[in-house]
Amino acid sequence: MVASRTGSYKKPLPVIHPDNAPYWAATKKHELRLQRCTDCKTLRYPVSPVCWKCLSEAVEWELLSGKGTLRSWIVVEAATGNPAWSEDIPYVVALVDLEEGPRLTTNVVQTDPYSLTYGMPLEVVFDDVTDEVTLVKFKPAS
Amino acid sequence: MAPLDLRNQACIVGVGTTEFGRILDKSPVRLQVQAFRNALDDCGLDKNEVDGFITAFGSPRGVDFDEFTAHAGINIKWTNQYWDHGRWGTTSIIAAATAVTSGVANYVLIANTNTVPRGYGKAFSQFSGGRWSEGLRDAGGGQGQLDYHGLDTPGAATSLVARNYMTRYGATDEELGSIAVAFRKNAQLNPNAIMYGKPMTIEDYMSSRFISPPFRLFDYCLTNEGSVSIIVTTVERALALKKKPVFISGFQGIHNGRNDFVFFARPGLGVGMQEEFDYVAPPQRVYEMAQVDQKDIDALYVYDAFSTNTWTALERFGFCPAGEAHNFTQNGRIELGGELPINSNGGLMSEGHFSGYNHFVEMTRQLRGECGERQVPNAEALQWITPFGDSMILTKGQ
Ligand SMILES: [Zn+2]
Repeated sequence: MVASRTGSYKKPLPVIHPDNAPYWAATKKHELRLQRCTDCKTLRYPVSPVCWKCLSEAVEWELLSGKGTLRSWIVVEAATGNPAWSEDIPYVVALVDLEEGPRLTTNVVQTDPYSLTYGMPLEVVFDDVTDEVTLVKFKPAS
Repeated sequence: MAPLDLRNQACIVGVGTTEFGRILDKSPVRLQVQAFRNALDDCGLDKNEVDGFITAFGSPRGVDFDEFTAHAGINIKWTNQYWDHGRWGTTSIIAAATAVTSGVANYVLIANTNTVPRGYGKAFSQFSGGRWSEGLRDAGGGQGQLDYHGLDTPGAATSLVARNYMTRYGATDEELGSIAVAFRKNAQLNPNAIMYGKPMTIEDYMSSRFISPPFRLFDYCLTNEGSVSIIVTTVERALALKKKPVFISGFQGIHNGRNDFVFFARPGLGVGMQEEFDYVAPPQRVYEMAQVDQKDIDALYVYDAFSTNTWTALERFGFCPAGEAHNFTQNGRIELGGELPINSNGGLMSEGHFSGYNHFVEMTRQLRGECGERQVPNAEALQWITPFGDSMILTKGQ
């Protein structure tokens, strides 16, 4: 868990707006919730105001297990975009397949970036990067 | 009603560029007008005949349609301006071909100027800070970016595509390097290429630094400044101009959807929201429209923003089965003189990143036989392909 550091966090933050606000409200409570269409039952990602399968807007925010497996990853060794990432080099950006299906683009933290293996079990970790924003990241399953 | 057959109904008649360079310190308007003058000279057209205009980057990186008409003193009756992305090459030329064959315009100028933040962009405050980023959309960026997880550049995002591909199919770093080496070699025969005079061996490639592995520095395209102009008209008008026209024989558009969302990953790779499956290339409309077989393509042009785009595009169009492109690109096959030369100009990686508009200039010159040392012998049919599904076949016609 990273302490709140509003004001000093220089990296990009998600744009929170009414469509996605429930997702970010959940992460702030350290819950991973995604939308399940109550018409066709599709669990969807990314967060969207509509179901990509049936276009319904009817939804419930389902609490997920936070368990997943490492599908693929890179270790970023040079910050070529926003220079604020330099302090994190080298860092892991990963595709994580959630137990419930959807695949997230996220970070794997709290481990040696060069120690990862395909398919390794992961669990969610919530990173409170500011007072308002908590990011969903993963660490090796305990 | 049968679809209108636009095969060989429109032609590229004039092409022109500026010099290409890392930093030219010339404004987008100046560069675009220079390339326009060169394209007019190339076909012997008076500027006042140009009555249609397409631009792919707006200001400040390139030119907006209205500022260009004001500066160039032309009067247009049809225009189209695309979003600030490199992907619109085929779309632009299809739009121009459709415009001239429908009569909404007679001569369409397609314009692409690229300036960069550390070049002329310094003069424009829009380049600095606070800009909306596509990687902040809820669906992320078009290459799979998600800025707040540190995947905030197309290159880092595409290295994740490369990682998926290489792991799944057992491709090696040396095999990846063959692409950058081939395009660099081609560029040694192109005096306007930014990497002209800078040859690179596989050893040079392997000793270059990693940015986000598997991508090294040389897996990236160049960032640079310069301008391209391409003039399109109908076949009847084309035949009255200075040079032999180059025929727009076949085309197909960008493909997009959840399985295509990540632009540089062909379907089936399982990147981002894509499903993972064993991809088999379906029949491609571009060949049917052009009435050209894939085996009769004399040289290929690929949107090589990053090295692996060559693999994903080759497989997407069925030049080799899924998982085999990393073998296909070896042993000089894609170099000039090889079985299927790719990017004879040096590509975005070694000629310069002009979003493929420079590739269309090269294709035109190749079909005219104007390419000197790098001329593809007996070039009759050339094809442009991208990992995101659009394509165009240009031919010498009959
Ligand atoms: Zn639904």
